[in-house]
Amino acid sequence: MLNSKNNEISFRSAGPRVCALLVDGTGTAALYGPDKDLFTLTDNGTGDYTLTLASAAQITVKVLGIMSSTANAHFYLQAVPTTSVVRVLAKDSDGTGSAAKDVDFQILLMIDQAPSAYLV
Amino acid sequence: MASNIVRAKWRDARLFSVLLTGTGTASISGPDAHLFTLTDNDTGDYTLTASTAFAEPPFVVALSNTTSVTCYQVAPTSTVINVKARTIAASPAAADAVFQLLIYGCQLPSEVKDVSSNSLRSKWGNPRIHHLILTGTGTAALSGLDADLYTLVDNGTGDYSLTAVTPFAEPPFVSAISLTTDIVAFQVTPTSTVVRVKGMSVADSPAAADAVFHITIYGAQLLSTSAIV
Repeated sequence: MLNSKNNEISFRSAGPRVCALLVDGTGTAALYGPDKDLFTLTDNGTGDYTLTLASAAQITVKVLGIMSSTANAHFYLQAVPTTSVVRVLAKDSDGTGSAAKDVDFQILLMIDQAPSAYLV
Repeated sequence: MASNIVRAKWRDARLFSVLLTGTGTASISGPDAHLFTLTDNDTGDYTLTASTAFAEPPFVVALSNTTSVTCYQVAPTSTVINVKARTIAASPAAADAVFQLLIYGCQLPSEVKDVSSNSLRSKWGNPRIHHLILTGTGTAALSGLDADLYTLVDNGTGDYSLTAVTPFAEPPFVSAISLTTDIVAFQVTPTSTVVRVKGMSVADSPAAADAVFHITIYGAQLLSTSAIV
């Protein structure tokens, strides 16, 4: 599929997988969901969460979306994700735009594992 | 397979895309709308009920097509997804909105085995996910793995159009997440060729704002294209 001449809408990820995580960001931060064992969660402070992939992906992790379970919150990414780290920041959406906020949220990620991991 | 570290626990997991129009008479459309029924509970409060239960509660993300409205969800069950929308303002309030949903779930094992009754099947065949970084500050530019599959037009402050070099079969699902503090991404409902992303400041009176966005686009090819590999 890679750059096939006639396959005009390319799909360059070699072996992508969707990972689904539920971040419990209120109280003692914790990870849930079917792929929680692939990541570790670091609570950096109010509304500041780092997800670290235990085994680095082949290319940068893609974030398919983030959805809050808490009203009046919005998200942004602290930086472009790397092959192993996604850092999510959450804030109030009450118009002040400045207050970090602990929230629970679902996040969908797409990762590409190194080919060697698939072949075994 | 012991060293297949990134192996998912869910089997036969699938992505479903639905456009929820919550303004006027609420409705759902898109490639997977047939798998759900919609209930308009109240202003900015919508329930999607899956006609066939997922094996476990699915994961749901959304991007608002309505400026200055963000959405959140009540914890989903195996059959029910409850999405709510609220304004960004000094005193946020429930608001009707339009948004795209991406739903990721897996089937019950009994349905995976029986293809004929595989009622949780998406209509999209050969879907693809593209990844882009849109730098909207300074001279707007696209980068990332799939940047050459789109052309970028800077329509003005915080308003960007991405035109696919090759059209999708149907309007794709778009996720745009800001990399800039206190700027939220919205979109205009995409077409098969054009994805339009907007940035708005989080303030009492939200305003258009340039920002950097992490964008993923999930869509399917035209059959005439995907048949040729």
